[in-house]
Amino acid sequence: MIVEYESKQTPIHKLDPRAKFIWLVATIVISIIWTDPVYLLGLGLVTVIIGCIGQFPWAKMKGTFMFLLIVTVVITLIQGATYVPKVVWLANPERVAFHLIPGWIPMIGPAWPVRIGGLIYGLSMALKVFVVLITISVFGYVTSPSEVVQIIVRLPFVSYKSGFVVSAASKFVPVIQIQLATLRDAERSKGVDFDSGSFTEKVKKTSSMLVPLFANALSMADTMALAMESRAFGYSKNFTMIRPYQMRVSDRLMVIFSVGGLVASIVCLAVFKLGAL
Amino acid sequence: MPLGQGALGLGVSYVLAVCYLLLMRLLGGVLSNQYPEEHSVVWDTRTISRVTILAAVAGAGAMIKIPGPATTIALDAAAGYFAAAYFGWPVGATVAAIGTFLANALGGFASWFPMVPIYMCAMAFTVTLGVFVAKKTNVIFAIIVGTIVNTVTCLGPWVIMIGPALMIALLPSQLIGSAVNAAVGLTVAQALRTAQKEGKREIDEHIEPEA
Repeated sequence: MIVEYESKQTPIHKLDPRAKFIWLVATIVISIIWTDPVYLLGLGLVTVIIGCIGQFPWAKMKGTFMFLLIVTVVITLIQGATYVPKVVWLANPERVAFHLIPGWIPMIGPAWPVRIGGLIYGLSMALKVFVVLITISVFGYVTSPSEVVQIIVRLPFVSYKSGFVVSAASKFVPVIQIQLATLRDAERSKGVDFDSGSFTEKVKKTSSMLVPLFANALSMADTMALAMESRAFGYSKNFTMIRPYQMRVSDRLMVIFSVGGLVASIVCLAVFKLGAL
Repeated sequence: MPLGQGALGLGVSYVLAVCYLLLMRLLGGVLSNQYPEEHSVVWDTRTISRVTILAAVAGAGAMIKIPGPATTIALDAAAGYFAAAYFGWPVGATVAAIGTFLANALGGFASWFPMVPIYMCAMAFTVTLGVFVAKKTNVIFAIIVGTIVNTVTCLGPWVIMIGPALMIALLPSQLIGSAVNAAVGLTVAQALRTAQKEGKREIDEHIEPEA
């Protein structure tokens, strides 16, 4: 995650993780189905407001936003120069806004016309990326990783074993990283320089480190299986949750707001073409 | 003509992902029928713990960076190939899918979140196909096929959505990354299997026959 979870006492932090997850899914789906940049801007604004209520640290996103801004400007220009969609509310989407190579450049200009329709389409694509980025970042900031796993485990079509695998694997990543660091140090102590040599040599050096890593991992898996069996893992399908969640009024309001918004946006798009280019 | 990053483009990409899963199931079925000892898996506690740890290795592998000629390469898919070759395709496909999810989650997947399920299906299919080809021919051919298929399956949805421009730009880094991951995963599995066999043989030689 770009912004790590922080435990705070904001109204958004206090929400039931299921309500926050429904909001996340609804926002992503709406951002996918809408193609009008004005509507996407509105959706982004709502997400920003929710982030502000959750005291989201916007300053931490500065670097990501700057990088993404460059990428999205490139995407917008490429879309503008190469693709012209039909725009419901625009009379002539093929109208040229400007040329990527302006007319004052002798011999080659003007060339690569950027058309209004394509530019608007590119802008909406860029906004989609921003909305999804902000939504997931806000969700990651207000929801702890263990809560995310609790949501996965509670999904009706997901077996608790799958939830366990995702949960335990995410917790083992730092352990594997420590092992990797130890193996790298061991290789360095033998005189291996990971930064020197050709690409093939670098791959060979890294691969030599991976054989003991995988061997260690298999040994760890066996130990873990013993620990799981000693706790009767898989004995019964009727399992219980450590943290039982209960929906409060604010959680229900969030669910109604999210699901209602999603349904309304789908109906308005299908019937009145609201939100479509 | 590209279908865009809207519902249509993503919908078609998800259909493509379902096709990956169907193909994976088809190839996996053939492997399970023809090589039941290697590719039929019982989902007991030991298998679950192996999937868990190898998925964690895939997640941590995303942080192993090798500076390459086109871009920096992460070893996030190697664990999937390893698991498929060492424990059978069902374990490999599961490790590849969960490992891809973890690697993307740890890498800050916010901007391409809707694409992650497609990548998960693509990786599960690729490792199954890789191990299928390795079984039918040899490891070198499996690496070549795995590289091409991984590149096509991961970049294919982008071509559907925004056209071939991005695919052309990402092609060199994706090809090299796929090749390195396939090569590392499959060769490490082969090395460990050989070491295991050698170890067993040495133990057998040291055991004295009963009088």
